[in-house]
Amino acid sequence: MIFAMIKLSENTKKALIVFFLIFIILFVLIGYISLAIQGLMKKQGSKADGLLHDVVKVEYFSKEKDFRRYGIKKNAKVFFLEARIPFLIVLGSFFAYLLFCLFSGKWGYNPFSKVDGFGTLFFHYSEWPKEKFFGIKLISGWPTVVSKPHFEVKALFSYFFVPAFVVGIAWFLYYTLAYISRSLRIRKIARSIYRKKLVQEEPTSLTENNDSTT
Amino acid sequence: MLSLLKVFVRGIVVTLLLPIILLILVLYGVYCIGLFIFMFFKGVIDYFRGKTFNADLPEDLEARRMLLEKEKQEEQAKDMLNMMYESTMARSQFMNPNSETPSNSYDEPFDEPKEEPDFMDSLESDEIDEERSEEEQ
Repeated sequence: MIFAMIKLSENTKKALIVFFLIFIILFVLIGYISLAIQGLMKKQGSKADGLLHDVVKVEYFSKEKDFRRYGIKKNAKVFFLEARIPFLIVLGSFFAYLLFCLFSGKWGYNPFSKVDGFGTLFFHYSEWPKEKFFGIKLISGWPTVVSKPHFEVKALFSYFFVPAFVVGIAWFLYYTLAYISRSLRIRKIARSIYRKKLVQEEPTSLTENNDSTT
Repeated sequence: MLSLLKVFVRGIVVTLLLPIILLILVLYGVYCIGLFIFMFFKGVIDYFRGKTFNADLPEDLEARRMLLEKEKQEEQAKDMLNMMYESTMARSQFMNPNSETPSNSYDEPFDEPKEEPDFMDSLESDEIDEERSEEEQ
């Protein structure tokens, strides 16, 4: 009933189609990104196979619990060795920030600021202009450009600090993902080795029990 | 088309679960920072104890040693088998000096079995026509 009362102009229909298409493309893109991350995690997890190869081949551990404990220890060591550089980058940039604050005396300086921070390298827009129509505030136009990307001497420190900090954090998160992937893989390997063995070792006893009950 | 639809649905599910996924990642990130600091201090203590910090655990070294031993044992067993085979051959040669050493039948040229000639191949073309006409009659 309501839909029958709404009459859409051609322009509105076109806008709706475009909106719908953007909606579909966006979700397909997110789907593909998630698939790529899953593939990456599989690749990262396969590194655990190489790490555990010797121990599995000589059947060093007889219990799943011991194997898992060893896997956790090994994974932590590998993570530490891998994540040294990103951690040092983040730590170094943090200390640089502290030193900057100490020498400039600007405690609480925001390196992402639009005025004297990394934000000076981006476009900034005003708020969406709004007008009142029949008592309701509605958007009535496009926002205007407040500031264009420009170089600011005051923000020089942030131009070095922000990229280093962001790259360090992203790199550290990448290795965190690798740590999670390896943990999952170790759990899977432990399950496939030890739980299978349990089934293989005692099939006769299981059948005997079944026979005795029947 | 179906795969695209699957990816689209996956995209929607991931978007809905994104806050939870990000929360787990951030929590793991915090845990990893703690783990990193712990490993750092453990490494420092190990360094002053005279141990080198690398990815190998004592279990790894033991497993590697066991693996090498296993390989060595396998090689020894192979050598032993070869020696036994050679001594057996030498003994049989000594007991029967006139007997030939058994040759490997796989080395000999393999003759393919000859096919028997087809009856139709032995006939001339005229004879074939005659045969066919007789069959038709």
